Amino acid sequence: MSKEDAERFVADLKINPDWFQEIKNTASGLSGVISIANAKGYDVTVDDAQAYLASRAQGHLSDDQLGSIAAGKGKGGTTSTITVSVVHGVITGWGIVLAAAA
Amino acid sequence: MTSAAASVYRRIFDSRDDAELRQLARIKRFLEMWAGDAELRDRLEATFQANESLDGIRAAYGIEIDPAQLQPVYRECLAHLRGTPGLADYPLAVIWDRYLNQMMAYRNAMRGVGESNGTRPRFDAWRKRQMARCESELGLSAAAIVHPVVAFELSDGCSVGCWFCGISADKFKGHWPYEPNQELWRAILKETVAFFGPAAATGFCYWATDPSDNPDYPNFIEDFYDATGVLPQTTTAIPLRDVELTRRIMALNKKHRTTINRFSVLNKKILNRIHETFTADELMGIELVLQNRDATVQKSISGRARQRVDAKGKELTEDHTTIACVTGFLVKLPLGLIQLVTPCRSTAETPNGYHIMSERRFHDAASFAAALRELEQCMIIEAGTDGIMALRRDLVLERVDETFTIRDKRVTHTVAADFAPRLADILEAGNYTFEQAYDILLREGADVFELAETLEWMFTTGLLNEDPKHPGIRGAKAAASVVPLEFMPA
Repeated sequence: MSKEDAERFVADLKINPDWFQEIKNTASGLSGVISIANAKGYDVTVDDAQAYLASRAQGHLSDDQLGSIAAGKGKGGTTSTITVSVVHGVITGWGIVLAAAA
Repeated sequence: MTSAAASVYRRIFDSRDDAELRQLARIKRFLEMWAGDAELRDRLEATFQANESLDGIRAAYGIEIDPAQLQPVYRECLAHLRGTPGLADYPLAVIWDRYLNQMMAYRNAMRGVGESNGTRPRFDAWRKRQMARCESELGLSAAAIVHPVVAFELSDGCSVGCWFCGISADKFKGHWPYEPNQELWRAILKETVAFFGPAAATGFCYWATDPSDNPDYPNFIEDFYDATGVLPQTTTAIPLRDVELTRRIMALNKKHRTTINRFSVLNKKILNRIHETFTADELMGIELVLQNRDATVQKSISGRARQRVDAKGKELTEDHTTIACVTGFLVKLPLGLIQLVTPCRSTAETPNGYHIMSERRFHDAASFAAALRELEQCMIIEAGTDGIMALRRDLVLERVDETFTIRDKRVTHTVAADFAPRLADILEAGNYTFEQAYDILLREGADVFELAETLEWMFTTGLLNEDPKHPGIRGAKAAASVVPLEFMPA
């Protein structure tokens, strides 16, 4: 069980395009790909996949983008390892709140 | 059974002695007057500017508190003091802001009560995705939406006919009487609780209807209380039409203290009459939603308000474009109809600010329960192979070097994977299935974990189109079939 197994699966996939069919037939996200990898004898957990993705993020995101995440500007929960989400709207308004929507 | 949110709400009252509650009620009344009366606002500001006594204004308007002690709440020049130690110089503002914070805690607790992961994981996953989409699609106004899981209409249409009705309620055709429907109503509530568990407590008993149009309304909500442990929230625009009925509802609210009620106030004359009819203390459990011309609160630009703005050729505002709040089932009891709904931005295609994803008929408790289960199966909880990879129509995709950004109301998302340019091609085309996207991108060398994570992220954050009128994750064809239905008296 390791990040290396995830790396190995990615590399092996490139020389086994017949595996594409299984992956595209599930098209259900990370857990689906992990299930396929494990069914083929690899030993990959969600944590392993996340560790693998985190190692890849350094190569994709700029220093500014990584800095945004570190500084908490990225919107929690929507920032993945290869995407970054930065809130640009500022919560303004000072007025009294007499009524909130249902 | 008492919901966690109801406990939070009760603490607003239980954590104060009678003297503070009386003071809070008078602060609230003053703010209602301030927010609903432009002349009062102007006179107050002029008096502050001139550094004169407020005694004359207090006497003229019957203001029972010292407005000077509340200034940071309603004067922009002092608003910066809110949330700082400096607010202590304005003791009434401290009292008000403590109340507001408790109300917001209650609202957040309501969202939590709506979670049903233990009892309905499929529904819960769908609701959470819709909540994420609303955050992205509606911007700041989404924070006010608690996404109750069910609403029951006890009438067909609405007799009030507000020109600004955000969901364009139809004309009133009749109400669903408690007799002979009592047994069916209780059975429906039982099925609702069996389906949702504690999340059923987020439900309420109106939608494009006014509770006061049903003279049996108090009976219905007492049954709701018996079934869920919570008296449902009530909003009426006609609290003065039948004051005795209104007082019965208010008495139930005071007895159970599980949620705040609301009066929609259509004009200043009605505001004054409400203040004459009900004491400040009586209105402590009632929010006044000021809809009059002088009001400081912005109306939602949806439904009939949208039609009017469109007709005048005015530009639509960016925020607050729906009053819809349910992410779940809208049950139209007089019609025997259940719709699966969720809020969305009001557009020319969805002027009423909510999507109807699908609908089913029912005629008794068993068919009601079956309809709930069938509609649950209509909820998309993972990206299917035949789902279409198309962005929501309000999003802006922009290519930046070898990456692309997706910009929504508040957030700019940057996708920086190696396959970003090709994924941008696919999203811009808007007609590739997930299966085709995987096929193309894997064949071009995309990292499978990155690809799976990116597509899953786009799905779970609600960036992909689910509008039933357009191709999207529901597939190439519109899935909802909505047909006009006739009123069926009991």
